[in-house]
Amino acid sequence: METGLRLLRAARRTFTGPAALLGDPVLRERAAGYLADLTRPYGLRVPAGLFDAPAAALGQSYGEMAAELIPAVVPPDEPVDLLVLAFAVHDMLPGRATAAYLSHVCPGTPMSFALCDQGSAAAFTGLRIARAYGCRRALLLAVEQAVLPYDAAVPVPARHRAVAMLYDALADDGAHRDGDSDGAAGGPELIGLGGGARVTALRQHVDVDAGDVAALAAAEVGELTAGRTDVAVVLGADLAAVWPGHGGAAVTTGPRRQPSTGVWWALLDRLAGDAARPRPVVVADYEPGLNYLSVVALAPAGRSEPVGERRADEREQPLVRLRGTDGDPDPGAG
Amino acid sequence: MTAIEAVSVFLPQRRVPVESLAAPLGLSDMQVRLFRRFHGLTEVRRDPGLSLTDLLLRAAHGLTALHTLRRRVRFVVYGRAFPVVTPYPVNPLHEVCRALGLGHALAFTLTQQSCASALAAIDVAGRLLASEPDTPDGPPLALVLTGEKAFTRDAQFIPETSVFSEGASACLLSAGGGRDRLLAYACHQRGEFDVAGGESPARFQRAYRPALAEVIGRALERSGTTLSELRLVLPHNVNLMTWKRLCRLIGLPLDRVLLDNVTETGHVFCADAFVNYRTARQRDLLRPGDRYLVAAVGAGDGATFAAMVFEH
Repeated sequence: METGLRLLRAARRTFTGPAALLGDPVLRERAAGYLADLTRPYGLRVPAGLFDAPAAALGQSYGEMAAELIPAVVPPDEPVDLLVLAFAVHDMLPGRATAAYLSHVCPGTPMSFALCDQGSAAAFTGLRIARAYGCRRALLLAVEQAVLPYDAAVPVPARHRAVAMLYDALADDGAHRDGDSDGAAGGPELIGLGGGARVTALRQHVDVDAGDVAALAAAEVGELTAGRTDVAVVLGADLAAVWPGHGGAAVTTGPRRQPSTGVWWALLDRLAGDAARPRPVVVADYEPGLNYLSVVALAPAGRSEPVGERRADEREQPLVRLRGTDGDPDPGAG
Repeated sequence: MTAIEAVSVFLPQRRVPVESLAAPLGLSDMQVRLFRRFHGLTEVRRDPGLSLTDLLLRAAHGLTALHTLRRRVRFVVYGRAFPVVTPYPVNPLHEVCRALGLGHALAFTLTQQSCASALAAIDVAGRLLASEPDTPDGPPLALVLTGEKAFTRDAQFIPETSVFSEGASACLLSAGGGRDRLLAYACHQRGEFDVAGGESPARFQRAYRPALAEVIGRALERSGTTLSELRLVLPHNVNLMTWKRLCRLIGLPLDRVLLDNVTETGHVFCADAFVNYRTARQRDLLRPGDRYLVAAVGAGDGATFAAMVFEH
């Protein structure tokens, strides 16, 4: 089922520097008090003196991360109607209404909110909400940072990362300004998407046991690719770990320990890699803690149906293959 | 059209006079008198023995129809003022869903509009329902939850403005019911009042009532309703003075605003709308065809002003 959305422009970044706001002593003190109160009822403790550390060691603020990506994908004359910030792990300014701030720095002053408590499914839900809104443009921001100031007893993300994806309504044939090169050194990486990618299907399955997810995911991918051999498949790391393979599809897998951004990071790799000869892509991710399987299918904009041929280099390779994400600046951290 | 099917509210029995908040929060006698005499805030509900999951479950258990309708619930949307209320990965929302037998529903939290997040949750849930096919048991439903603990200083009071009560609500929504139909929603966000936005608290105070008046006007216009046609306004329970001044600003008779809960419960985060809806129903203040307005303001870092018009 067509969703009426097109992925028009995208940018991403791995953040390595300090969060500027965490250098502010007033905000540090507020964050320290908030996090101490947050953890106390659960028998967890924020280490004394943690907030005396340099800002770079304190983790990130999603406001600053997302705000840096917005100008890369939203020109001032393309107002956004809806902004959704999706995260799983909270940031280090946890009491802040970050989405409201992002509305202020985004062209169009869009309706904005955050989605959370849903693990890796949140960004897919954000896309589903964007479809339901039927707006001209929706900005989906997936963010995660790698510091939790207490013993969470679960792995934290490997890196501070953010992905911004601007979707528009298919009827809007406004000017495309996609770049095909990196931004300034250390800045957002703008991903060239050519004419964009139509969102042709969007599905979420709930209550999917870990033992069932591989078969269900394979069935979904099989249905959405309809047996074609030219369709790329992008999987989140948790799903890739149990992926049984699906004949005819080249599989890209997202980096491990990036639950919120990983599959989208890998999608952008796939789209950029295929920019010269765009082809349909099916993206799927599994949230093992909450048993959500999410699937989205995209096709090059301007084609009436997902068509394409295997490229020459692909004919030399097995129909099913796994590859790491291209351009990962820190592949060892996965 | 999004419609309310049922509403349940849970407030802890334990009442705490505002004077008792002075010592733990370091409030002066003058600040306490301001709350009681100027803002009409006399007590709040707090119960340290109840967890967030307890609050949410008690609200949901008040929805007597939920047990028989649960197979139709496709979405559970938790509208929450405070973005982060538990350490990662503790997840009260999914604990509640499991306890209610709602593991088959897509559940997520919508936040970062502060106390206006509940109205956005209603709007989002309604839009998702509109494109959802019927279930084998009937048309799909959404469960909108609100509920918070006063777990940290910022969740206990807003200086010189309001005090928070713990509490929770549960609201069943349909895409086509007839009882309380959502006619219009308006929302305006002012992110410049975030810590990084550069605007002063004094300017926020000046902008507050005009901004709320603007979204109320927009919601009325979108619903084709005039101010005089409103049977009732269900406010956010921030304080009495804000509503007295707002009514003067927009020309609304104060007796049209249901302010009774401000005094005895204070501001129940995102649950105010449902607390006041329950009171309106209990007092039989709404007749079929009556139009009423729900208003909310999220004023943390950044600000969100929101209003909805319903037809009963």
